[in-house]
Order: sequence, then C-alpha cells, then structure tokens
Amino acid sequence: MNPDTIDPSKSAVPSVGGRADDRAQRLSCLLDGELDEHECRALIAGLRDDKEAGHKWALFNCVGDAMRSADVASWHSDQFVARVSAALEREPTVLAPAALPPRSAARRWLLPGAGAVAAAAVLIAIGLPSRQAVSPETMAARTPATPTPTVAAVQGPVLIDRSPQLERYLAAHRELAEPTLMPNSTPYVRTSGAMPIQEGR
Amino acid sequence: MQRVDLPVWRWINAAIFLLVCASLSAAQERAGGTASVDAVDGRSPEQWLQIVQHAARRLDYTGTMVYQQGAEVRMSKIVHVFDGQVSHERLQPMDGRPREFIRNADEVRCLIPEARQVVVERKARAESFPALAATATAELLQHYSVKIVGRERVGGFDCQVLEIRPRQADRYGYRLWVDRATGLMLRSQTLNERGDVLEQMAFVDVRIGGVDREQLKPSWSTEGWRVEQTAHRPIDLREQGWRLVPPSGFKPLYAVRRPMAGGQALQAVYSDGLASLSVFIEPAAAAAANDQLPQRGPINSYVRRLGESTVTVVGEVPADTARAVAQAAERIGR
Repeated sequence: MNPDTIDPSKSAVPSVGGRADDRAQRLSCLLDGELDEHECRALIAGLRDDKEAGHKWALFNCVGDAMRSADVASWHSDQFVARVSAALEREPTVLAPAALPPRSAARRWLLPGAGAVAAAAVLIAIGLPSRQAVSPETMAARTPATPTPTVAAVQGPVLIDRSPQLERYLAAHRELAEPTLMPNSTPYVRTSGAMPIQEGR
Repeated sequence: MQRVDLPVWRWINAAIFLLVCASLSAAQERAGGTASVDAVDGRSPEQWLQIVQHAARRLDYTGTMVYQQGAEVRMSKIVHVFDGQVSHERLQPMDGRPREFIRNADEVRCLIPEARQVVVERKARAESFPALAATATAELLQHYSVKIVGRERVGGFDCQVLEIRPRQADRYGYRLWVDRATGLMLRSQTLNERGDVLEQMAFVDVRIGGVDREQLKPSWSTEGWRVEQTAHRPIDLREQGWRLVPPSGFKPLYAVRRPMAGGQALQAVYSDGLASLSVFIEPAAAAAANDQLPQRGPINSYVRRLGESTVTVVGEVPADTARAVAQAAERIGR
C-alpha cells in the first residue's frame, strides 16, 4: 500500500475519481479491522491533519452506529468531540490511585469525573442523602475549573456502556420483571433509554 | 357489679362502637391501612415488608423519582392509581429522548413520539405460575434477613429504615426507607456484598392520595400512530428441550416465546421476590462466544454458546450468579 494516498498535502487536490474512492475504501477497511498495524498507523496519522478524511471517518462511524442503534447514533454531533476534549482538559490529574488507602463508606459515595460532579450537583439540588450532600469532598469536587493536581478517587464505572446487544436484553427483561416492593414501572426507570422490542427489528 | 341493661345504654354503646369504627376506617383511608403510633413502633420487620408490598400496589400517589446508577442520574415522573381491582401507572422519563410508559394492569404501552409509534407489551402468564404479589414473606426470609435499622426523614416524610441482607452472596442486599404513615417506599438502595451502592431510587415531591385519574393520560394524542404488539406466547421449557436451574429461591414467573431484535427467542423469567433474572435462548450467531456483557449498576449478564444456541442471562444479580445460571443451562432429550 502506498502511504502517499493519505499524505495531507495531497488532500487539498480536488478528489478526482480513484484517489478519493481508494481512501474511503481504506477508511472502511480500517473500521472493519482489516488493515495491518502499519497501514492503521499511516491512515490514522493522516486523519489527524486531513479534515476531509476526518469528516469521512466520523461519517462512517456514525453510519455504523446508526445501523446498530438509533440511540447511539444520536450521540454524533459536530460539537461532541470538542466538548469531550474540553471536559478532559478540565479534569483533575490523577496521582497514583493505586497507592490510595481504602476509602471510607462516605467516600465511596463520591464518583470520579465530570459526570460525577453533575450527579452530585443534581443530588444536592434535590436533597438526596444528606451525608453525601454536605460532605466537604463533594463541595471540593464541584469547584475545579482549572487543571489542578488532585488525589482523585478512582473506582467504579464512569462511562455507561451502551452496548446495543445489552440494551435489547434489558428492554426484554424489563417487560417481564416484576418488582414487588416498588412501583411496577421501576424496571422502566432503570432502563428508560432502551427502545422497546419491536417485531421485525 | 350491676349489669347495665337499659335500652339507652345499649344505644350509647352502639353509638360509641359506630363512632370508633368510623374514625378507624377514616384513619385507615387516610393512611392507606395503618394504625396508631404504638402499632407502627411495634411492627416486626416481616410486617413492614408486607406493608411495603401492599402499599406499592394499593396506594394512589404521584411524584418525581430520581434514579442514580454510577455517574448517571435520571428523573422520571410517576403517577400510580389503584382502581380497586388493578393498578394503573404512567411513567414519564424526563431525560433522554421523549418517551412515555402507560401501564394498565399487565399491559404497558410504550409511546415513541418521534416515530409516531406505540409498542404494546402484554404479559402472558402461564396458568401454573402464581403472581408474585402472593410471594409469602416467609419464603423471602429464607433467603434474606430483614432488620429495622433506624428512622430518618426522606422527602419530608418520617421514614422507617429497613435493611435486607442476603443470606448467601449469590444475590444483592437492599436498604429501604418506608413512610411510617402509609408504607410507601420513598427511597431504595441496592447494595453489593461490600456495601457499595449499585443503584438508588428516591421519590422527591411525592404526593400520596387524591390523585386525579386525568393525570394517567399520556402527553400526546396517539391518534394515527402505528400500534405494534409484542406477542409473548407461553411455552413449556421442557417441551422445548431445555432445563434451566435458577438460583435457590428464584421461582419461575414466565416462560415465553417472544420476538427479539432480528428473530425469535425463548425467555424464562425468575424472581426471588426482590431480584429477577431472565434467561434468553436464541439460535447462535456465527461469531457468538462465551462472554460477559458490560455491567449496568446491579444488572449483570452472561452469554454462553451452547451447541446451536446462545444462552443469555440478564438480571439484577451478581456477575457470578448470572454466569452460574448460564453454565447450568442444559439441552435435554425430548
């Protein structure tokens, strides 16, 4: 394979026939995991500088996600990557989490990361458990606007994995699960994002 | 002692009796079947469980429920009405894409406005499987111990705090905050064996009683929307050539053939009264391999390739339990 095809300097050339098609083909192969390590590196390096290829790459990913799940596809937006990058910039730096002593029960309530800050803020706003609402750590966690080295608590999943495969099982499970102590709709609260199963989908 | 047997005394006695009855039933009406403070304090943990079960079905209430799982927080509005026979519910998730779930007894209508579509899910229970509401507390107590651990205020309500601990590590524990006056559960936490909170739900601004049935109506007129039914057909697992072994104390609720994305599946649902799990059996996809799907709060799942089939276990149980159930599934001769 000729690495020239993804040379950023050549991407400004109006794409005439074969060249653009070939690149699209190779991006598609990359998505499908059909390229070897060397080709992957070259192509990904090219993506960094070539706006058009980058756009195509995002589009292909969006198409793939749309085929798997409409909900996942709805995450695709122009500002999404920019917002995530900005949020990562603001994240406190984690220092040697492995060396931390075991956390107390109160600290276990604290969640790492920006999502946790949002969660804590909502919980404070609506007055959920008082011990987590007033804990000084929580208040501290709300403020960092600039990257400051912090010994952060690292535990538990931050990102909710939206596996389309799991979502359909969750949707099917909630239909027939029967909570006895809580309202019947509780399983729907738990998985409100999952699409109901439909015939022929 | 001289016996008072004058007609006027009898009349007064009868009047007092009637008055007491009336005030008692009025108090019951107000409180959804509860008694005096002394009686509340004297309740055993088992009685509390029965009251919570009863209240969740029989009370009318409306409010906003907050759900937290890991870093995710979601809010839903909920309306619950008991009409004397069955319960009706309307659930409006306030986050994500607009959806509404309207339940009437065993039927749930899922409203999907962007597709102008209603998906109707109807439960088809086999005759032999009893309704869970009948689950005796005594059976539940074989697998859990229940303790009253305190008294706290939640959402403005004076609550009893109950702790439900599993007797074995194959299931989760719970902590419940129950309104002392009505028995409605206002907060619940699901805990793993280390005491970590895997998920929690809490009512905020809940109103008990006096719910207008108009509030059960969906936000959108579904006139002209496409209506789709998910048909579940009860089946006999043995006749289908399958033997499943649920964890101890998990009773069968349903065994059905049902549509799944891209085909049909057998689904068997089991519950121990607090947690439930589903076993799905489908024709195996070519690439299917044994695997654990990502954990979602208290929900774990395990996929196992078994001959020409895939067995998938999904439920509010620890990962090891989900795997054990999948591993125990067996094909049997017909």
